[in-house]
Amino acid sequence: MQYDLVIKNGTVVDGSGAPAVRADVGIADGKIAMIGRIREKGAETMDAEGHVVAPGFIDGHTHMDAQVFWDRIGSCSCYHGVTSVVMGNCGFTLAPCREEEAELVFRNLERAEDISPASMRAGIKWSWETYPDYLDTLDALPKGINYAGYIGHSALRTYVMGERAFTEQATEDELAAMAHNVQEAVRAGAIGFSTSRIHTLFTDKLVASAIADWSEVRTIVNAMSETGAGVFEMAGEQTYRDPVLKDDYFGRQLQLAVESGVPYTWGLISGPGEPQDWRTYLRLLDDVAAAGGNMFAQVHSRSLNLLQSFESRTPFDGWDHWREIRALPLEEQKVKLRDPAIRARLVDIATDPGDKVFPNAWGSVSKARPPNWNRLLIMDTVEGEHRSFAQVAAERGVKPVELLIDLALEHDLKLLWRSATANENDDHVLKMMRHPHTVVTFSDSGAHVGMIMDSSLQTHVFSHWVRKKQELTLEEAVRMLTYEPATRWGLHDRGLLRMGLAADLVVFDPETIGGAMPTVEHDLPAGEMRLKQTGRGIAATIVNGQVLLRDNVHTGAQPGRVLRGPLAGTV
Amino acid sequence: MPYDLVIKNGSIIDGSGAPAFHADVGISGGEIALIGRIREDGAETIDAEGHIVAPGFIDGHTHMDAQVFWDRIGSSSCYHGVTSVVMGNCGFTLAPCSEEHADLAIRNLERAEDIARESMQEGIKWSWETYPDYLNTLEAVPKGINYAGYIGHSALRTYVMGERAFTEQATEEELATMCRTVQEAVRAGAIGFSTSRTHRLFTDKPVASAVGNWSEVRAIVNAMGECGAGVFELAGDITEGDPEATREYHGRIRQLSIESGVPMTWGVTAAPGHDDYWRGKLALLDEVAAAGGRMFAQAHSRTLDVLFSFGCRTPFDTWDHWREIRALPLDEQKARLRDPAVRAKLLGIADNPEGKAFRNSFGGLDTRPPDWTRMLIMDTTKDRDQRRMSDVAAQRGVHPAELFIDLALETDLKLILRRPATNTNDDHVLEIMKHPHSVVTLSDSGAHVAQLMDSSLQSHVFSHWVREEQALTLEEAVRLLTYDISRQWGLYDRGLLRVGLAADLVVFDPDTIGPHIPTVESDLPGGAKRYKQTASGIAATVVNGQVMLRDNEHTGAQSGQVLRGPLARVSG
Repeated sequence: MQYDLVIKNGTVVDGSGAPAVRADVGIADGKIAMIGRIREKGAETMDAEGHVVAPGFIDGHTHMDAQVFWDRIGSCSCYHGVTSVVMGNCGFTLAPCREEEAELVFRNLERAEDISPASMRAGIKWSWETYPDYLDTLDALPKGINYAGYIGHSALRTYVMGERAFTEQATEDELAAMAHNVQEAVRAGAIGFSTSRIHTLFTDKLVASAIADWSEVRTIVNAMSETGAGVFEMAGEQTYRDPVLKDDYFGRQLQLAVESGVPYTWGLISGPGEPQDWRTYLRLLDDVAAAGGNMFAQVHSRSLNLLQSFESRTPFDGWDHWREIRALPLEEQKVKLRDPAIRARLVDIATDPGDKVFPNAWGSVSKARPPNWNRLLIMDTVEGEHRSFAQVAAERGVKPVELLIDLALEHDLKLLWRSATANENDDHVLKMMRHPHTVVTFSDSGAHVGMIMDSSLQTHVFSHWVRKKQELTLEEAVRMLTYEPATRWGLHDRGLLRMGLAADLVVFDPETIGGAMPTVEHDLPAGEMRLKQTGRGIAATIVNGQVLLRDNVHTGAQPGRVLRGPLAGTV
Repeated sequence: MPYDLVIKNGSIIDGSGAPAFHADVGISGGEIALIGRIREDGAETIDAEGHIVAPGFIDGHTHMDAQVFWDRIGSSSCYHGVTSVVMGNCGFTLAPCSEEHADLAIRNLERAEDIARESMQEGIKWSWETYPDYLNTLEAVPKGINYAGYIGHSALRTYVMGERAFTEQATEEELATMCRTVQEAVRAGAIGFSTSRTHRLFTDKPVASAVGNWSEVRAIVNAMGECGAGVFELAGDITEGDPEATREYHGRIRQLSIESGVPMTWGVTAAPGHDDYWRGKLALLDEVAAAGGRMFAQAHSRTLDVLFSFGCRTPFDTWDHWREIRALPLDEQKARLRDPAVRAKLLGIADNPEGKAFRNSFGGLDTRPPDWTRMLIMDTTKDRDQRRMSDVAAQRGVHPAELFIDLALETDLKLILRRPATNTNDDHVLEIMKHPHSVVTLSDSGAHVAQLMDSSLQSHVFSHWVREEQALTLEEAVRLLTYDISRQWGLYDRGLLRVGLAADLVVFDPDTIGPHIPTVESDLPGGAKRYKQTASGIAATVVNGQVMLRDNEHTGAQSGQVLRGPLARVSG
């Protein structure tokens, strides 16, 4: 037998949770052709001695819809062993949409997912209108990893209703057109339908999908159900700690899950405001399962953080004095930050802004408040423990903002700090990860690239939960990132290291796999900034039988594919 | 899309251990085409409301090699949700073997696996010589379920060495031929190579494979390792009670597993009083895994029992007085058993054989009254409720042998007693089942059909371990019988309920699935007897997309396939 690639001497962890076994893996024609003792060499042969050979990880929650046009490898997820992603979450997609209305779609993506319209304008060559057209366009793009995509409610609504999508309810005809479009998309291979009930636009108005009343969502999801396939993803409603609102909301979800039979999913975090609220959502999952529905939550493996640095954003960028400094090139900023007079002005206003009103990082204008320095943590190592500016400043006898400036200068302005926005309690995180109706997958890759960097979700599972905390076995961890997401989204030829399935594999050292320290890059299509995070300990990332990354460096291969849902090609 | 079969409203348990969920399953072209909400009907539609829809169970240890020629459904395994089996265990296969030497292969099977010679002679139309020929013959045989097969060492040795196989070591040339023949078989699709170091012939001589020394086994397994595929199954040395021999034996199989890279497997049961022995075997599995080898044990889900009944065999069939009665037709036996004078003679010797030696049902000479404290009355399928013969005899104030006759007459001679031979401690059974390197699979179906009936292993996992003991969840139980087994034997397109995989499915009621009480049938070719055991609670057994059994009744479908190993299935 002629193999294109043979991975020798590795420890195979197959993704099912079964115990690791030592075996060679032979790959031919993009598929796993043999798992056993392989004597012969392949066209390419890799020695995986001391390494785990696992199915490539699957991330079910990304926003790579725009990025896929300019990023040929699928960063930053690809650096963490991810070989397949689901994009188009929360209703935000680039299709269906006519080229002349692209700005409407950009509007949704910009505010809700922090994807820059300039990058989108520079990086995307529009050549589709319908969702099936979009999938065909994707097929032709050079891709590092595999992409499945939802058809998004905001794009769909804008496509069908135009500007009215942002203000009005749909007419019966419009609703029928939306339902029809979703069925057509799912039959062509869309992985499902996504919506958001909460995201707001840059203007503080709601995104198009959130204008819709629940009956519109219900009609579309039930229409999708008629096709027999498709997952429904939703960025859910806020219930503002109001038990009546919550009962109503949970009741509607349970009803829709059961009546449609559609796999129904949303993200779940433990928010700082309501630290026990997540438990009620897990109960909803159990209730829905008991009632015959199929609902699952997407959970993260760690805290979600806002990352900042002088290279990206600081809390003071819109404030007086800071504004002028921050507008300068970084080299000049360094000089200014060392100037005692300037420094004093910066420290003073940062410490006490008085009643001044400045634009904040979300684009709205509000009364300036100094950050809570107890919650700003110094990211001097990738894994932590991280100490707060408040704590270290007290030790040094300086003001926190002085410490911020000093440390930044000591690190050539590369120092990152983080503030956790959710999932701060590790025990809660683990409980959510272990619930039978959750999937560990929530990188948000492609979105908010200047503010957050959660693409390391997968490597964090190993460095933190397997190695440091020893709460998961390697086998359990691999299963969480492979078989489970593959099954939830119906990616039936992936997520398992088994003969006959697609050869998406990750070869990693269980002793060293982890995230690397994030960096700030200015490599988006219009030269804008993004956070980038690579991984450690990953010797090879293989997509459809080709080595995409070796030691986390792109080999040049473009083996990624569009992953279409089960109805595509069968109609 | 038009489906051949739609299974609606069931609760899907996919075989991976993932939680059950409600969905419909659409099947077309023998494969699972969709798992979701299916509105349309298929050419055939099953309503699975209240039922579990799971991958068909896989049994990795059977001896259906002969039976496959006359049994079109794969009984009794098929009655318990099994849709695929591995046969040819312990070195006993019908190939390679030319027709003129068939008697040698039959000799191995007859004694070691208790398969009736006359059934084989009458039921098998020999049309092969090599193992690849045999697989091709199997393709053409109408089959209810799927069969994978080992090439067996006893057949192989006999094929290469002739009569010398039963007495001598192989020459270098013979060994080279055996190695080459195994490689050829594995490349053609044999699932692996099997041997026995222990089984004995009817004449109390070892079977052919057990004559071979260890270096022969080692050479053959390493030769198979060169192919890159194939499982090695071994009925191993029995070293119970001899720690030194155990150590030596474990060292040998450990070495072979690691040097060959071949997955190696053998059965293990919890022999009463020998906890260190079977626990030592489990520890060996962990040790081998840590050293980079692949070794897994085959475990049963319950006691292994010898069955006794007037319909088949009693403990006394060869004893004086009994011998004459047992030779009569059953109706005449009934009359004689009611005759006080005859009865007195039967009971007299059954209680006190006076040092007489009769050939027992295993072929040996040994006459002892049975241990009635270990004989259980199979009048219920609940293991816990089955009473001991000694206890019931005491209650009735009669001798157990008398009770045996009385109960038999009360049940029209249908009474079946079981005597657990091993795995008598449930905690130990569970410990073995749950070991990460064991699989639950050891029905022995097809062998010893007049003595044992362990084909209910799979339905028993649900009735006993899930329902009565609550020691396993439904999801765990399904995984033990599906994915875990398909993984070890490389049956990679089965063992999971997943789009694109073969549509082998079992639809069952989790509240009622379980074995029935066995019956005795005289339906083997040539009229020989066998135990048969069906099950309750299984609404449909689907093989390659066709409903093979509905409510445990054969529909007529013959959708079983030969499952060839990976080298026969990859091109290039």
